[in-house]
Amino acid sequence: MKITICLISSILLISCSTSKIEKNVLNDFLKNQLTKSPYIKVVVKEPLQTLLSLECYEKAYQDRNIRLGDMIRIRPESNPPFIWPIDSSGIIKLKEKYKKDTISPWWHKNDFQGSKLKLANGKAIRDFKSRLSLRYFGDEGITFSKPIITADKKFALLFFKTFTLGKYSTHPMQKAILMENKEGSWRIKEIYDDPNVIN
Amino acid sequence: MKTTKQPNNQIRLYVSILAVLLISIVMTNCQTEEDLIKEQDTATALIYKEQITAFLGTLNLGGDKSQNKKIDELLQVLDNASISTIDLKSTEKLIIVKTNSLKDFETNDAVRLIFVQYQNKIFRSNIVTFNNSSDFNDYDALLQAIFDRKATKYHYSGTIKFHNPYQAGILELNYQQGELVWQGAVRNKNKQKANQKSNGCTDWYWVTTYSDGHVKQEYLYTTCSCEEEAYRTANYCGGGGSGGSSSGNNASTSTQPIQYPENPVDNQLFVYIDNDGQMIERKYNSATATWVITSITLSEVVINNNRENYNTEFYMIPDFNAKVKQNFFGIDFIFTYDPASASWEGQSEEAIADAIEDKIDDSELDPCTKEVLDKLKTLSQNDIASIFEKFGIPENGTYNIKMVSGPLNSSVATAHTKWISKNNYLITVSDSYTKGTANYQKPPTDLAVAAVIVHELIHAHFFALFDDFHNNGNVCAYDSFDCLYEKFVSKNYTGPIDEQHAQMFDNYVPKMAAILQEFKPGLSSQFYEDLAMSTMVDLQYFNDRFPKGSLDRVRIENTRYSEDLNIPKGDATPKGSPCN
Repeated sequence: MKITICLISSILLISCSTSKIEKNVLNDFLKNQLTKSPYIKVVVKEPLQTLLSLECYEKAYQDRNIRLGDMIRIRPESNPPFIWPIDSSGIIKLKEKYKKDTISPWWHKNDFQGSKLKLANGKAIRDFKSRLSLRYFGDEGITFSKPIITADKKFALLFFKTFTLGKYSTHPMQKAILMENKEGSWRIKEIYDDPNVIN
Repeated sequence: MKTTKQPNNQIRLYVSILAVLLISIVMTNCQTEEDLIKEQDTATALIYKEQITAFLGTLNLGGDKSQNKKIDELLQVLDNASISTIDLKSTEKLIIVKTNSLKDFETNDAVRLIFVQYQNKIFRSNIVTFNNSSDFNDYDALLQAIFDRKATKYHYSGTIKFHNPYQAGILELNYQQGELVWQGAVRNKNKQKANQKSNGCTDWYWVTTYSDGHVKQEYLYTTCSCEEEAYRTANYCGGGGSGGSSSGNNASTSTQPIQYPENPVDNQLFVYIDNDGQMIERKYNSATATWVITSITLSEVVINNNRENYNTEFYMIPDFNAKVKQNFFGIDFIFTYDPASASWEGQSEEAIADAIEDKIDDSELDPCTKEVLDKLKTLSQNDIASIFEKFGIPENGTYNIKMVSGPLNSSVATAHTKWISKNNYLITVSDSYTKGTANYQKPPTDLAVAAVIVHELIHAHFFALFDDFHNNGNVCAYDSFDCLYEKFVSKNYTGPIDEQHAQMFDNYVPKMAAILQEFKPGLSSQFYEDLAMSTMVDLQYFNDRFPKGSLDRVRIENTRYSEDLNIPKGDATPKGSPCN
């Protein structure tokens, strides 16, 4: 009995710890985005597919040696030399770990510490005449995936999209982000996107 | 029964006789017409023969016996029946004499004497030989394809050699299935120094250039006088002279002032050869009543005769796809080397931009966007070709843009531009945007769609510059584009937004406003600037310059919203027409 209780407690602790890391990644990411774009006011309740960020990173990793001028599906946004903290075997292991991650439950207000972000569903956002669209006209909305954490808990990947509220988006964005844990805080290390498409 | 059939037989007999009579009359008439045509042909051939004889007579350089002998040999094989002519696209005429009996040329599969005539005067001639690797007999069409710089060479496999009238080889072309594999030509070893002949002499080499870029050189001879050079090569080194689309012998053309066609219509083309031998094409612009230069063609002979007029790249050994940019008459021209005709064809940036504009594939575009695009193409001062021209078009001005209506990765986005492959770009305009799906089926105005199209075409242009630098080897592609240069060349770009939008923000907003103004004139300049600037909304540059709630930002956002949704917003009312 004692052993069972210990085991359950351990599993819960590990699970809580992982969940806490995910929450920290998310909040540090949002803090960064809100600093860059103070007009982000609304979060879409439905998270994006978790594996999107890893798939994006994988394409960038696979195309890392293609010369500029040829077809590169995904490319880091920074200037070279680029860093690749997750290699192909790491990508396979993470895929295996996160592939069972079915459609995630909706985000809740308490997922985002101390932020005044409004949680809204996608339908209200797409309707230009909805109360939400009228209230937040010209502001930005954001939607993102649950983070993927590397085994050593040093790096995290997530995928996000931004768009304009209440009107057509002239420049919607969608990118994958690599974050690095530096002394307890998660910092953006690299951004990946499709260099072949631009709005 | 028999009595009833007899009249029918008689009728048949009469009809048969009548038919025979009619056929005979028709045939006699045809024969008369054929005879007439034959007589005319013979008369024309006689005129050409006289012109050819007169021209060959001028090629006797200083009474040298061996030269006279070569010219006499040409005169002996002239035959009226074997003369044919082809009108070249350059307004020159190619007179072709078929011969199989020219001495020392009998082993070739085919031999043609060609004479290039301009304004009823022959100014150049070559002996052309064909040695085929597979069956072929359409030599006249092949010659025309070479002179007209057509892409097709009729799947020809074999070697074509051009000789000057003294039978010295000057240009050799080897084709496999219509693709040029190598080109051999007589050249100075160091063309840059050709004007500075050491001890008054020039060394000549046979230079073979291969399609993969490698080059072989073989010493031929040294010339120490103009006469000798003219005899050995194709050059007349003294005086003006002229050239044309292909290498060959050279004689002076008219130095009369240019006689433009009378009562020209808009876009009428006129081609002439100027006193330096440059072939110039002009297009008539009825709005300004001027003949605008659209292209210049330079043969290597013309370049060699006036080296001081041309950039050094022109007389280096060119590879198959060599390009040179040079300003003539105050206009930038981009010259492309055509190894088959050994000539440089230069197009003005305006002409190239117009060609890119004309080539935009809009076959899968919805009627509304297509109508807007068509109108943007026909603006007189700020048409969309002017986007491609701004700051200079890519040297490889052959890129293709396709525009389609379709879904995007975001249901509320307006459009995006995609790099598909080298020199091929796809612009997708959101069909839900043009249909007004998110706006209760109320579509945007034509002005909003125009702003979207112009914005995306600038992206396509930036992709073309990218390809020009990375794939076409144009090191100057980013010369006027700091952000793109920092991103892709010095690799130290640190701007807060992507390099393309940063560049657009820096350089293109006034241009976009000018296009929109011409698209729908009569509104305030503030309106056009706001609509142009509205294509940058939400980018960090925009947020920094126009903070949320600022008067300027509200005005810009309302202007765009009003056109996008075709409804009033704040002080803004839709100015464009509904796009249907």
